[in-house]
Amino acid sequence: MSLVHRFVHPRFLAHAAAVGLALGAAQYSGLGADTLMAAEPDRQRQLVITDSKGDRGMLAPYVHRKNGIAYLYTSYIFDTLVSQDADGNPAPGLARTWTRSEDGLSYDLELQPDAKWHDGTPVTADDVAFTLRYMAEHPYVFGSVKSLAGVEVAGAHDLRIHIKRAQYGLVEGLFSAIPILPRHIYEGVEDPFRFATSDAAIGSGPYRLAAYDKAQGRYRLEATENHPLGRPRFAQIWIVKMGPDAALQAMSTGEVDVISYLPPDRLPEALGAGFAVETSPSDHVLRLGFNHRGQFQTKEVRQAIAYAVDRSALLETAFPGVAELAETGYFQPGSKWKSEDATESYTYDPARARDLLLATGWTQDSAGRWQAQGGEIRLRLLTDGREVKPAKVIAEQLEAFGFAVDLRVMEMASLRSLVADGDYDLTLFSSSTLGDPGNISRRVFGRGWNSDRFPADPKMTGLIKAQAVAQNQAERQEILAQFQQLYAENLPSYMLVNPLMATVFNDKLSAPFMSGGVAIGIPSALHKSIFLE
Amino acid sequence: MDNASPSLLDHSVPTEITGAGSRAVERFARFLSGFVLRLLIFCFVIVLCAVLSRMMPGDTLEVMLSTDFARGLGAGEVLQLQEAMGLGGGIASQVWDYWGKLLSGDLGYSIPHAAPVLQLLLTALPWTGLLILGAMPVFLIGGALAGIEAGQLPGGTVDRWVTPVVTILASLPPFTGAVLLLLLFGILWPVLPTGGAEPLFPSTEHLGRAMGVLRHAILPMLALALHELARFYFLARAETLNLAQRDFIVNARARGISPWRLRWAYIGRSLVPACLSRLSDTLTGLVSAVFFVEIVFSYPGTGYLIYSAILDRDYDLLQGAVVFMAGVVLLMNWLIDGLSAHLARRG
Repeated sequence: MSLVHRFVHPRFLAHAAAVGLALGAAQYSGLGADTLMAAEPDRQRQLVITDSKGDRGMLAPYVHRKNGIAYLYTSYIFDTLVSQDADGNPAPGLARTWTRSEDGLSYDLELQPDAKWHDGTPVTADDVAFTLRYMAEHPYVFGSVKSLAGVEVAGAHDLRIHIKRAQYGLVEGLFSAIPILPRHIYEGVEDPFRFATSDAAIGSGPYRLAAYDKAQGRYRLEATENHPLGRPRFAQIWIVKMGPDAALQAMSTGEVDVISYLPPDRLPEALGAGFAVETSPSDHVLRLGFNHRGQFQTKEVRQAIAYAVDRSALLETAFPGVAELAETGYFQPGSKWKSEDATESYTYDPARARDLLLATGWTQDSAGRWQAQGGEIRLRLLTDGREVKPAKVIAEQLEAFGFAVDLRVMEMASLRSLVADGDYDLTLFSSSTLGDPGNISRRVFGRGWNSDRFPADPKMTGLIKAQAVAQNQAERQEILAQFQQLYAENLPSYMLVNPLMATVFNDKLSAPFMSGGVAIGIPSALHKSIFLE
Repeated sequence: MDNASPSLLDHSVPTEITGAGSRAVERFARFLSGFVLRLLIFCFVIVLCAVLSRMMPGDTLEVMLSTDFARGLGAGEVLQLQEAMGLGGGIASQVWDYWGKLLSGDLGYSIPHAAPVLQLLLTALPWTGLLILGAMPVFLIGGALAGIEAGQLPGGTVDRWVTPVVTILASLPPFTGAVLLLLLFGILWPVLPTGGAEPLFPSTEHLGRAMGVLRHAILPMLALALHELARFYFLARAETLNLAQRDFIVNARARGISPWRLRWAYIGRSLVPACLSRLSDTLTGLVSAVFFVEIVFSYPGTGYLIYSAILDRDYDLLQGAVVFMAGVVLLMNWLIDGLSAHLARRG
């Protein structure tokens, strides 16, 4: 008779009971995790790192997500020829030694004799030669082998790499950037962008990928035996997805050991809880970019905008306590390439800005609005969702100075296409100043949306070319000092603020941010050397 | 109670076609035509999605290479990569290729995830399914129960207290509801996890693991259910008010049957067809609401997958997910409509 009664009632009860049980389980939250961890034979030797995003893809060179953090994780599993010491200087990696020839056109490398792939096969010069050839055939996003002329295998662990043109930055650039692949695994792989089985993650690094849960964004790395660079400090490293709130809470209960990137405004909580916090400017500087093919062709107009923008007010309003004023001459304090000579800092000076604009022929109407060729000047300011706050402050400052500003906040891919079409006047974007200065050419003259898109300037281009082929560090530094003066004067883009980054550690380990960034210039403290004894 | 059916349905029952043979055949034909209609809609969705997604500015490779660390690839290298990734040619040839693959049952390959789309969907769908299926009893039973209580005594205590609360709940978009729940039970009174689908270190035994999964699902399920709860509450309340006037209820009351039997066997049972037909259009709403909820709770379901596919311009994944979800929704919708029409007819 009462079909509904019989059908619904027990179900409902069961459901209610399940909810009740689950709520009950909330009372002893974390117990499951604790018991599991206690069951581990060597609990102290486990390290748990949190990442707010989680899934970074399979940790193999061609298939991880194309960002710095995914590259960083993959570097725990794959070695490069040259590694870094704690100060960020080149240190032996897979290559024990490297010798530059007199003419600078070749390098002799001697590999670590006892390096092994995670499947036990020895790492040989043949693998290195194979990797360089393979990357010529299948472009690798984080390092180009275009500058290489050829590779000669001289023995099981000896090889000579020939390059087309002498370049100073090869060791800190290419040799430190590209992961060496196992020939016996990758040889038969036609399309490495679709090779994402667990075999793809067989590297020679100190940790091997033991488990990867894509849905949960969780990785388990296991220490290898006898890595030539040292004994792994932790038997296991977990990388788990966790937002900052949950991470801080889990750190207090001892469930996690490192919060990879804590938003700097949460620092007081971390410090209050007594954790070791390492902070550093990210050197991913927020810049005001100009359309050099539109309103901002002349240097004076760009300088006028720089004087009209009050960076200190921007810092206080949009970045209270979480950023520093940026240097206007490209390199930021802490970089070994930063020049000692001061560059123009464009202290807020609207009067000077006005004079500069009037001198270039722009006029101001009675209401103070700027005019050029009889029409009012409208500035289209583009930015993506991450920079809305500073973009609003800058738009207001420029409005107050007499410009009509169209602020357009766009999704990244749409923004890129507008920039490529030149359909803008100003952009607000963050871009790194880290990595080997070999990348300056692309960052300043490149056509990408996060490049300055500065038209070829003979003086600056000359300096950039000269530093690339410099014979030694001192010469390179001197050339780059001149470049910095020119950069601040010409303003390919106006460096505004340098946001801070923070990593939180408990007592298991702690390390400062690596000066100059990790490998390709990733601002991080978590270089793999800190996980080695 | 045959004549009660039309008022219980929120859409009109198709009028009968004269001379179309026996009633059973007619009903079956209507059931089938419903399927054909949905199949047409499905095809339209596939066409629209394949073309529209590729009309967004930027493409997969461009987005992949927009990282700050990528070296500048030469034009030749970019072409080489485009070809290798199947992004060469114009929109037309890409769409054509995609349909070819789709017809042979291949949902495509996600380049940014480096995995077949089907595999990605199969990992994500169970989580989305868990949230939707878990939310259903909450709003169906909870909404109906409260609605019956309120409808039996309009202006009574239950009605006076519950109706305003439910009205407020109804005005909250699922996104806001999710954030509120997160704030209340995840942060201010941290009894439930704030994100993810499982604990940091899931238990190795089945019961423990299931418990962990359930705990993580509670808040997103509630967030999903809260919004729909209001629809079923008002539906049940209105229908109960309506039914209270009907002879068979008055009669039953007069006979002095127990209040619980009246609620379940008389009112509740009469509500089933109405609730079912409402459920079929609720499904679409649930599927779109689950996206927001998953994003708020970093829940590893299809919503999260689709969101990332849009940002990455991951065409195959976006299309695969939309085609899959549209297929599931239309199929469920067809089945529920068929079932509710059947129940309504039977009374």
